[in-house]
Formats: sequence, C-alpha cells, structure tokens
Amino acid sequence: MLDAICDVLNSGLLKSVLTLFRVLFYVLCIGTIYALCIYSKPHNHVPSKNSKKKPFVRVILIPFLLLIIVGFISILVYQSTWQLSGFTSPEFVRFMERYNPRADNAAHKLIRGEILDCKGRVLAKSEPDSYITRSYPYGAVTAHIVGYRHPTEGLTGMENAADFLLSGYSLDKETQLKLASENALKEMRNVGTNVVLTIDVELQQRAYELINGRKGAVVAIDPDTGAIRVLLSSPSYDPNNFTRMLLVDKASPLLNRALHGHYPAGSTFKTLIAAMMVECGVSQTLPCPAEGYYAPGARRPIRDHEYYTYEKRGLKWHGFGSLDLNTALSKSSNTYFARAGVEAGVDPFNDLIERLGFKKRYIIFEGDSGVVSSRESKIPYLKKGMRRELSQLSIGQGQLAMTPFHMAMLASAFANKNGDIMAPRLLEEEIPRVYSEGFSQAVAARVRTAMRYVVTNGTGRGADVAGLEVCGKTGTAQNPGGDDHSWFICFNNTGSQRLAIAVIVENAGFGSSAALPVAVGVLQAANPISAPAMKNTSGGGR
Amino acid sequence: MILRCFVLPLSIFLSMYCSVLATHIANSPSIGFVQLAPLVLYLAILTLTTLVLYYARYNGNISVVSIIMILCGIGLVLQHRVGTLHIGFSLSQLVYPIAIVVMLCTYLIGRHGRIAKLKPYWVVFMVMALLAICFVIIFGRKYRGAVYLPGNINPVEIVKPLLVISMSTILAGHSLMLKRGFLGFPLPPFNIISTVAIVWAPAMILLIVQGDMGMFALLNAVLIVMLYGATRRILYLIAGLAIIICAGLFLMPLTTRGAARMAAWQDPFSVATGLGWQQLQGLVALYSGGLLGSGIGAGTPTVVPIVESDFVYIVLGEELGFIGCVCIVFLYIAFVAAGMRVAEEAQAKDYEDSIYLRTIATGLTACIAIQTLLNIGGVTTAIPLTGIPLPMLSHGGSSLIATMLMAGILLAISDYTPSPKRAKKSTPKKRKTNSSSRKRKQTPSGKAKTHDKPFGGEANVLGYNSRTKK
Repeated sequence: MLDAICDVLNSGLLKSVLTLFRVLFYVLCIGTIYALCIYSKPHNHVPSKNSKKKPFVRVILIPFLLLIIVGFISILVYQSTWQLSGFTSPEFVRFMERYNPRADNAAHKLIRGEILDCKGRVLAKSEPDSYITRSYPYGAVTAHIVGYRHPTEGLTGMENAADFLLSGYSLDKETQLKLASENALKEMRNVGTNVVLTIDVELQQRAYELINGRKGAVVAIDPDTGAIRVLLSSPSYDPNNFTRMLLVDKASPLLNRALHGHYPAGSTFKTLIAAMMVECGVSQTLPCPAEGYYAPGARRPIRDHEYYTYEKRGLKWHGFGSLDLNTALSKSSNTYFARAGVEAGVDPFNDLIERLGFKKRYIIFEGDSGVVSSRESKIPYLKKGMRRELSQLSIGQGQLAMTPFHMAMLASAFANKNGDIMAPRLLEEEIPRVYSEGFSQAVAARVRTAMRYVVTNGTGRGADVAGLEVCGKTGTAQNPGGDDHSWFICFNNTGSQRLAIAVIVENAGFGSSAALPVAVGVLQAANPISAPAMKNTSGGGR
Repeated sequence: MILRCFVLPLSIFLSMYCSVLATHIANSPSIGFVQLAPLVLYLAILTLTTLVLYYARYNGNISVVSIIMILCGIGLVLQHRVGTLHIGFSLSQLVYPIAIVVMLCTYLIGRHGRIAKLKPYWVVFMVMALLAICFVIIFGRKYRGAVYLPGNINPVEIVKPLLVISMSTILAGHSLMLKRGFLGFPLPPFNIISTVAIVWAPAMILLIVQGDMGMFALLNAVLIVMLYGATRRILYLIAGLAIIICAGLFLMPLTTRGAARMAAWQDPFSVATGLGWQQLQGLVALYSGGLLGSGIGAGTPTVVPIVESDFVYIVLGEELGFIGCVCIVFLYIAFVAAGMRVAEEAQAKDYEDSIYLRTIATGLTACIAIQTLLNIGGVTTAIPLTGIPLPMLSHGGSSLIATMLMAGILLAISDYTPSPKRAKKSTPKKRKTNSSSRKRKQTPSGKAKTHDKPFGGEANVLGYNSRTKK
C-alpha cells in the first residue's frame, strides 16, 4: 500500500498535497488565534458583581502587550525585506549565487563560463543539462590551479578567485552588483565569461606523468612574459568527484605544494649566492680545502659532501684546492659558497632577499571573491654578525624554507635577458610587467654561464638537451622529515619556448636523479621540433 | 476544553506531521518507528495533559494551555523534521514528554494559590539561582560558544524562573513604595530602589563573569517588565526599555564574542564565510521559502548549520513561508496576551499575595515573550545574535524544561479555585490584616482601587479561616 501511495505522490501529487497541508496549517493557526481572541472573556471563577462584565480592553497590562506586538511586527517587516524582497540587496543575491546549494537557486541556471588554457583547451566547463555540476576534462592534472566548484563543498582555486568573471560579471564591482540584483528580479541569467589561463595543459600533463604520483611540485614560468605555463602539485585529486575523504588523506592531496609548500632549498639556493658574490665583487676564486670552512663563531665546519663519501669508504679526501665560480657551482661545493656568502656579508644578503621579494606573499590572481596566491618563503632576516647563520643559508640549509614557486621565479630572473623577474601571471589577458628588478644584466649573464657549466660539465649533465642550451642547478636538500628532497631549477636559453622551471620531488634523493628528468621532460615537450633545427646554431654559439 | 486542549492542537500538529510523512513516503515507501514516534508521543502528551487538567478540575485560562500544546506540537514536528529525534531511542525523544510532566507537576503542586506560599522563601530561590550560575562557572565547558555542564545540560536556564520568583517577593512587597511618584513619573524612595538593585546585582555580576550576555539582557528586560507589572507605571517600561537598548549596544562589544556578533550583525557580508555564515544561510533559506514556503519536509533547511537549535525559526520560514512565520509569531503574541490575562486575573488570599502572583505571572510571560523576540530578531538579523533559544520550539532539553516549568507556574496561578469545602467553611467576614487595608487606602491610582474591589469579595469568600485552621 505504501508503494502505491509513494507512486501516486511522486506522479506529481506531492506538491498539491503539501500545499493542502500548508493551507490547512494557515487556516488552523489563524482560526485558533481568532478563536482565542473571541473567547478570551474574563475569567473569574468566583461569582462577583463587578468582575462579570470585564471587557478585554480592561486588561491593564496591555501596554506591555502592545510593546511586544510592535516589536514582533517590526521584526516581521524586517524579515520580509529579506524573505520577500531579498533580491533588492545585491550583496545578498551574490551570496545566494555562491553559497546556496538549493536546486531552485536562480544562480544555478546561470551558464557559467569555461576555463581554458593558453591554447584554447577546455579545463573546466558546465554540463549543459545541469548547470550546477562542473566537469573537468583534465581532472587531476589541473586540479590545484583550476580548483573545483562543488554544490555543497564550495569553491577553490581559479573557480573561486575568478567566480565573478565566470558568472558573467565584469571585474568592476559597482556595476556588477547592480546587475546581480537586476537579474535576480527579472529571473534572467547572463552567460558567464570564459577565463583563459596561461597554463599549457600539454606541458602540465607531461609533468604530471613524469612526477607519477610522487609528492612534489613543478612550476614553469615564461621568463620573458611571466606567464605561468605549468603549476603542478602532486599527489593530486579528481575534482570531478570531490569527496570529504580527501580532507583527511595523509598524503594531503588538497595542498597546493607548488604555491604553499615550504622546503629547504638546498644547493639550488647557491645560484642566488653566486649572483650575490658577483654583485658584491667577491673574488671568484676561493680555496676549498678538505677540512671545510669554519664560519666565524661556528663550532663545526661546513664541508663538501665528497668529504663524507670518502670517509664512508674509509679514504681520505684531499679537497678541491682552489675553485672558480663555474667549477664550484658545477661541483656544488658547500665550502666555496659558505665562504662566498660570508665574504659578501650580511647586509647585501638582506638587501637582495628584500629586492627579490621572496618574503612576501605573491598574489598571482586577485578576483573579487578570492585570490590565488603563493605563500611567503621563510628566509630569516640576518642581524649584524650572524655570519654562522649566513654560511648555513648560503648552502640552502638552516632556517630556510622556499616555495617551489619562488624558486621558479629565481630561475626566471637568471633566464631573463635583463635579469628582471617578470610578474608571474595566470590570466592570459593580463599585461606582462616587471615584478622585481632582480639582478643587473652582467650578473645574470655571469650566473647563466655558471649554470650552463653545471649542465655541460657538472651535476646537471642529464639536462643537456641538444639545441636548447639548458642552464640549471641541482639540489639535494637535507630535511628533518626524512630522506633528502630532490630539487632542480633550470631554464633554456634557446628554443621555441623559453621556460624557467623549478621541480621538487619530496624525499627522492639526489636532484639529478629524480627532479631533473621531470624538468627535462617538460622542456622537451615545450620545444618538440626545435631540437634538430636548432642544433647547428646552438653548436656554433657554444 | 477538549476542543481547545486536544482537537485544535492535534489538528495543527497533524497538518504539519502529515506533510512530513508525505514527503518521507514520496522518497522511500517505508514507515518505521522513527516516523511514527512523534505522533505517538504527541498523542500521549495531549491525552495526559487533557486528563490531568480535567480531573484536576482546571478552572484557569484555557488559552494558555491551548497555545502551549500547539507550540509543543509544532516544536515536536520541527525537531522530527530536522532529524534530532531520529537518533535511536534516547532521552532526546523524551524531552517533550518530560517537559510536559514537569509542567503538569508544577501545576498540580502550585495550584489553589499555593504558589503564593513561596513568597517568604525568596532568599532560597536567589541562592539556588546564584549556585546554578556558580556551578556553570566552575564546572562548565565550552561548546559552540556557550558554556554547558557535562551532558550539555545548561543549568543557567533554570535561573530564569528562580529569579522571577524571588524578585517578585521584593517587588510585590515594595510595590506601593515603587509606585510613588509625581504625575505618573515614578520617583520611588532611594532605599527601595537600592534594595532592589542590591538583591538583583549578584546574579547579574555572576552572569557577566560567566559571559552569558544573552541571558543577561533577557533577565534585565524581564526585571523591567516585572517592575511595571508590580506597579503599573508605564514609565518604568519606557525608560527601562530605553536603558536596556542603550546598555545592550554599549555592553555587547565589551566581550570578544559580543563584539564579533555586533560586527556580524552590522555587516554580515563582511564575514560571510565566518561568523555571518549561519545567519546568511538562514536568510537564504528564508528567501528560498518566500511567501508560501516549500511545504514542511520539502525544503532543505539543514543547509543552515545547527538549524535545530537557535535557528529553528528558519525551518518554519523556509517550509511554511512568510505567512507561516506570521502565524507562529501571532501564536506567540496570543500566548503573551493570555499570559498577561493570567497576570491580570491573578488572585490570592489577600491583596499582597495577589500582587505577588501578578508579578510572577508578568515576569514569566515577559520572559517567554522577550526570549522569542530576541531569538527571532537575532535570526532575521534585526538585532545582534544573542544565542537565546526559541521557547518550546528549539532543540534543547534544559531550555524546554525551564520553559515548561514557567508554563506550569502560569497554569497554577491561573487556576485559583478554592475547593468547595473550604469555601463553604469560610466565613464572609472582614478579616483582613491591618497592614493590607491600610496600604490600600494609600493607593494613589484609581485603577488599582477599582481592581481591588473584586478581591475584597474574594478575600471574604476565602477568608482566613482556612489558613488559620491549618
């Protein structure tokens, strides 16, 4: 019998049944109140001459009752301004469009704009039959940067930050708010604007395949325009079916490691020290004895890792002797850069970090409803005489925590012809601008040469892709959390598309073994046909 | 009586309950214990109340009973609808029956004017109230911004009736002095005002220490109304109201939570995903309800966080629409009117006692009325959120039981029927205490005098024989 009732109800009767009960409720309530008013005759049980005809009006406590009635009615009037004419408040309409998960929400009839990559491939689109659900054709590959829009869990990433644009409003707040309430009034929906990102999803996919689910991040920035081509964090998740389980996943797939991960920079930070020592005019040939470098005030020396490798085998290492910058960078000599950093001094270091702007949160895209931003890197401000700390920082250890995004910005400074850092941007239509003056042309060129030497003769030999003239620096960052992090930052001087890349793979050992292949893969994917054609010219240039 | 205490509440209950049932059946064609529980509970509640009132020969204000039963029914359906009654067979399902039993017991114990016997023991009630607050301050733990004892019992709720009862003694005792004034301006002697203030202050200080600003505001407003109820000087009401509003706006930003709530009230959109979230989601639910609502059971009010507690009004707004809200609000107004009538008609053996009962009834009615006002105002963002539950509708055992205790006292005050035996035995003689007759001569206002007349007769009917014989 219940099944029969269920079928009858579901065949369209439910609405009228509910209306019936509702009307019944109204009638009963109003009837009750009316009846209570009518029957509220004075209530004196003891027969008394005077109290027999005591009318309702005689209730002397009526002022309080009046006050209460006035209070209630004014609240009801106020309530009706929301409940019945809420559409006149633009902010309220905006709030409903974003956060009302009910199916009858007018905002859900909006045809939300698509998110495209720089070559017009769709990263996020609305399903035509149900506007609430969004589908993400590339799924986990672009999950962190595109974000997700879930009917009940809300919005993240660009879906959140660019919500105004995607909902069809301009970035001008005044006009768009007006538009919002007008549309709510007319029940007319506007079509959202498409948002074109600078991301190249092909490269992003290549990076995703190469990093293969290991924890890590890949950032690739065009050093001449600041366009972010790859922004990958791994492990990732599928935004098409977001579940709450992701929140408690131990691998924290929701964390955008590329923008918010803090890692010790390791040897890749030596490129910055190299630039600093060139800038300060420190002698580029420094002694690197086997016993390492004692910074003033330090109890233990900073030694090269060769010392420890020899010691493990029971041998005695005799040291590099005297090194120049190219060789030192290519051998990643700790002794050399610790000494170089200390000789350059504390103040230039502070100034340089300040100039590069790594200690600030960098806002990549600021919409009206949210931002996509990178976390500030943690680089301590050094006081006078903190030379021991400086020697630690110079080899990328100590109280240092960099985001992969900032490392890519550092690489882009060297890759840029003027040594400038172009402001990284995600929106294709944004005009390129200089974020930081970075280094002088000469300094950038000197470091470029040294980094090129790393790839041709040093630890980064695996990155020597023919025709691209890759410059790079490997890094193996010790960290208290486990095995060393594998770093690689690089850029290509020639080729059809120049990229400054930073790759980190967590707890993966040497930079050359884990992070380097990922970066090389991305570079090759970015310059597929250029390799044979450019071979001659690059060979001549060497 | 059967019509108004049984049929009317039941039909309103059924009109809501069937709606919930219909949506449930439409979704899944099975009826379990959970679906039937509210109906069974409500029938039991109604039968019990009707039987008890019938056999106790309840002779008081029927409207009060009727509205209490209606509101309880609505509360039961709403709690059933948002799912708080679904969690197995637990105490939370029995909160309404327990509260009704509390009400009936209070009524049975307190009827025939026995409430007036509490008058000399105001110190006991005051101390109990203070102890309850102290208990919370010492043993309380934070939960959702408020402080509770283990088991989420909130003994502060019981402070409301306790304080009302104990303050009534003071106010009724000094009502003539408090009435004194010039051209309607109450200018009571300083020592009387200071007595009231000194008795009132410790509880308020403890409440501030505990940080329960909502209760603080509520109780002060109740005190003002009681002052008015005891003296019938409108200026007390007007001046008190002005002071309360000013003090509220001034005091609320002093605590961090209060300040945050003020900010969320002034511009909820600035903290849209923070403190303003619950309120804005509530408003969104109201907006989607519109004029007529979606029908009980058909909306999705559970989107609003913790909707079953302070925000239960939102469920009504979304599912019954604005008209439903108006209905509920007018039910509350009807309750206040009925409560005020109870206060007006409060009778006791002598004039002072009846003033005492009148003050209690005024205080209790005011308490429920102001609670409703603060809750609905807070939910609709007309005033800052105070965290006060909606009487008889919100989820919360302590609050419900305290409310029903107050309702029971109201019923007891309303039902003042001398038992026939005593009435016969009593001799109709002018046997009044000297003090009371002297005081009545002093009464300056004509209103009070006319009011006194019926009491003269009643006092004779009852006389003091019954009391002296005991």
